[in-house]
Amino acid sequence: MIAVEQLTKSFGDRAVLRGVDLTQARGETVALIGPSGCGKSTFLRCLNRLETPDAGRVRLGDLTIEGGRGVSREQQRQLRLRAGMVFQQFHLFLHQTALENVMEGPRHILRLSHAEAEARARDLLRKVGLEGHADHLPGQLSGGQQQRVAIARALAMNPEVLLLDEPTSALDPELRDEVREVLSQLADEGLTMLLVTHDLQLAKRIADRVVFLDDGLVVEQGTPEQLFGNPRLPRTREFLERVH
Amino acid sequence: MSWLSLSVTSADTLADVRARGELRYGNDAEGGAPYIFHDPAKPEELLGFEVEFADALAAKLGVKARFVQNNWDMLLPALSDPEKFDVVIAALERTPENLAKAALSRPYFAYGQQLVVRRDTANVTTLADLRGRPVGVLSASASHRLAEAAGAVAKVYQDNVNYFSDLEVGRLDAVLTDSPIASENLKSHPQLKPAGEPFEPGYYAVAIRPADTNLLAAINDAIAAFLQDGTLQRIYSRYGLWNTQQETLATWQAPADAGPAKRRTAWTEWRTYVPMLLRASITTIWVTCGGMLLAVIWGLCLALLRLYGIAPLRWLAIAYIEVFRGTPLLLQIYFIYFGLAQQLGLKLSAGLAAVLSLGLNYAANEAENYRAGIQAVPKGQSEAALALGMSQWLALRRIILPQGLRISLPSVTNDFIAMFKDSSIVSVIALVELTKEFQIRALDTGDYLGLGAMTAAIYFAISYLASLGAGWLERRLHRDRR
Repeated sequence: MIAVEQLTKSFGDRAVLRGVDLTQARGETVALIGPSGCGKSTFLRCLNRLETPDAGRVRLGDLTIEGGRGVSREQQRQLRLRAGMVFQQFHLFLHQTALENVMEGPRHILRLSHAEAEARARDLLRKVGLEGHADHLPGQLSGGQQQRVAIARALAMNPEVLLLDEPTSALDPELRDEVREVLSQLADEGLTMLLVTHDLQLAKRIADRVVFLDDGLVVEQGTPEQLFGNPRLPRTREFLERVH
Repeated sequence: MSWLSLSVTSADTLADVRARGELRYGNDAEGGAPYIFHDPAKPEELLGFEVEFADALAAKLGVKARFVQNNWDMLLPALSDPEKFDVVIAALERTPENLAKAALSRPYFAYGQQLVVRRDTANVTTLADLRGRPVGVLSASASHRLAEAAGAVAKVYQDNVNYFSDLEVGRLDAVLTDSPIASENLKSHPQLKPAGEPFEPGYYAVAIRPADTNLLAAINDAIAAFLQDGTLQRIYSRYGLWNTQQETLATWQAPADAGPAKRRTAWTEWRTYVPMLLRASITTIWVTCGGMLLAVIWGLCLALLRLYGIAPLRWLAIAYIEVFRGTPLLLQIYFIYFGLAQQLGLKLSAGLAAVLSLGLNYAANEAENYRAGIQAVPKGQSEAALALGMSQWLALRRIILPQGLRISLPSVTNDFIAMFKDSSIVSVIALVELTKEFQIRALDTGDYLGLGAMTAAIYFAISYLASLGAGWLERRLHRDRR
């Protein structure tokens, strides 16, 4: 489903990704963890090319895209259509209501009719438990509500994989659960998700596999039980002790 | 009821002049040949029959003449200030309107109204032939009144030069002007010719503050003496202006009804003046709306080119913005209206030229407003749009512009109101808008206070309505920032 080979990325002299390999099966949920600055967010942003990787290859379903700048805008767009993205800071469209945010993609990118787009958006808002907030503007929603709208917005495009960049990190602790709940439900339904997070509770709850990234490389991976219960490497153990 | 008549000077100006050894006279050096102009060989020296007349007049009073520059339009209002000058010698017509504003000497010069047309014009010999056709006249002059009375479309100019250029390029069908101006300018415009004989004789007189009766008597005596001893004939002959008309000056008698006409004020005749001002404000409004429409559209294009254009287009947009922001609007109007017509034969109508100049100039401001607004939209908004699968253009259209333009809206409102006031500058291309109408009527009546209050009230009412409208629009658009 997803196969990433030898992905590298530097900012100036600083090598952030130093040849990351990752494969992920359809329906699998993978959590990427690692210390701040280990490159996990950059990795996620390279996958849908919000950052341009220097080299390497990303395969997503039937689409294969090489690193570097020689990628057409259309190919880039195709990649983004297959990979939905949820941001740490939600980034809801500030001038649109919750419903309009979720309708925006289906209506203007997939060019569905207004009625079809609205039906799909209302379904998704119901799914994330916000059918009563359809007409609220982002400023009138709590962080947790905004993140759930953002998830619905990404899902409205029927992506093959959902990329989530620290989806609970910007939330107050008491608001995290509502987002965890939604993501857990999506995982149960078999959605393919690739998650970057510091929220180990979330990783434990929804991930089929946890990948530990350090200093721009994958150093260890396994099931949550293996990795959290019995990490192989001292670096991994050190990191887990620190965040706990 | 105007401040002109209130400014009574207690001192005797004639005594002051003698004590100072100087007769200060107000005139406008832009008047040009043959009245007053700079010697082409020695630019610091003034020539002209009025300069020489003033010199002779001062000599007769036993003093020297000193020229004081003042905008022609404002010479009479400025006369009330004794600090500025003692008399006005500036081709002021001896009319009841002017007599209402100042004391006037016996005439020192006789002239007629002369029609000027293009050499290829046939069938125009009198003003009656020009009913409904554009005729260039000097603002608030006798020509202006005559052209309006004859039903011609009077195009009002602030100087005696530009209407000849506009006649040449075909924007006007004729110019009606004082005969000395016509004969002087016909020399330098071989494509033009006089139409018919001079008519409607008129006289130039020296203007004096009403209280200065001693000075008035001395000046009248001096002019009478000049007519006796041939001084005026000598001076005017040097400029080719002495003719049979001037000979009538010696026997001139004040008309029986030449007493000062009743002063007209804006308050007592508001039924006349308010509609005039309102009609002129329509010009102000459409020039502003047209200019702003152009500025908004073109400004948005410039902002987008500057932010997202490929390198050469981006540089062009930056260059445009800097040039149009960095040069005076007045210069741009002259360039677009007169420059294009003379050099490229592109004859824009005054209205189109006004809208173009205001629009092109303000587009530079608008572009910067929009750029600031667009750049103030958080980066996450465009990332979210792109991550959703939008093209750059769609993201711009659906997500970035709606938010960015809303941020710019208060500055755009500001510019609209600023342009509304700036639009008075288009009066330099013979477009009578609100401020110009005010100037013309205020010169007619001398009632700067009353007309000024009416004009200000109209300006205020319109800009206040505009800002109410903008406030409503902002509230509607900013529903998420409640």
